[in-house]
Amino acid sequence: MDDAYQNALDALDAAERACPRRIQPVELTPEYLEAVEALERRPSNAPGADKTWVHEAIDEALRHLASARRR
Amino acid sequence: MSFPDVFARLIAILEKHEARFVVIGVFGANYYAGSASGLFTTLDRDLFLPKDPSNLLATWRSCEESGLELFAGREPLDYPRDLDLARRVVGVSASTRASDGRVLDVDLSLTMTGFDFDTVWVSKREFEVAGTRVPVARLSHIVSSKAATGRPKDQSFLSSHAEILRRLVAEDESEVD
Repeated sequence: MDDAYQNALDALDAAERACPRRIQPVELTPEYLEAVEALERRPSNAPGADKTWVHEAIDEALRHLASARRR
Repeated sequence: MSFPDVFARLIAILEKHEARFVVIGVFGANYYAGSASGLFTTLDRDLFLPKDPSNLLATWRSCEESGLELFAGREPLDYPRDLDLARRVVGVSASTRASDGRVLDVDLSLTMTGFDFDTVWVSKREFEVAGTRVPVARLSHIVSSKAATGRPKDQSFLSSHAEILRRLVAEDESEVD
C-alpha cells in the first residue's frame, strides 16, 4: 500500500471518529406510545372511516406549494 | 368514479388487480390525524408489499395503468417488466418506485424496518377513500418502524408527531374537564 493511499484511509478513519453517528434508533416513551394507541382507538379512526379528506387536504397543499414562485 | 388525487386512483386500480399492500410511512400516519392541522405534507407515499413476484408484477401494472413511470433507483425500471424481472427484484428485496414526475412518488418497498409483511398485514386497518378500501398499517407499527430506522428525517417526524399528540391529548383532557 503506498503512502498516499494509507494517508487517505487514515484521514477517513479520523473523520469517522470525529463525527458522531447520525443514525441512532429512537426510543419511544411510554406516554407517546399510549397516545398513539389512544389515537388509533378514536371513533374517527375506526375501520371503514372515510379518509377522503386526507387525500384532498394534502393534494391541495402540494398544488399550492408547486405553484409558489419566488418574488 | 371521481378520485381526490392520483394516489387514490392508484389504490382503486391496485384493488382491481387484487394487489396486496399496506400504506406505511408518513402518509400512512396521516390517515390517523385528527384534523388537517395534524397532517404532514409529503410527496412520498410508501407501500409495503409482500415478497411475492406475482404481487409485485400486479403492482407495477397498476402503476402503469395509473399513468405513473416506474424506476429502480434513479433509472427507469428495465424491460421487459415481467415475472422474471419481478423475481429478481424480490430476490434482492429491492425497492422500486412509481412517479408522476410532479406531485407523487410512490415507494414500492419489500421491507419495513422491524416488521415482516404478515405481521403488518394481519393487524392493518382499512379506511375508505372515495369508496375504495385503503389498507393502512397500524400507527403503532409505523412509528415503531421509524424509531428503529432512526434516520434524521424519521427522528424529525417522530418529534413533530409527538408534539401533535401532546396537543391532542391536552384537548381531550380539557373536553373531559
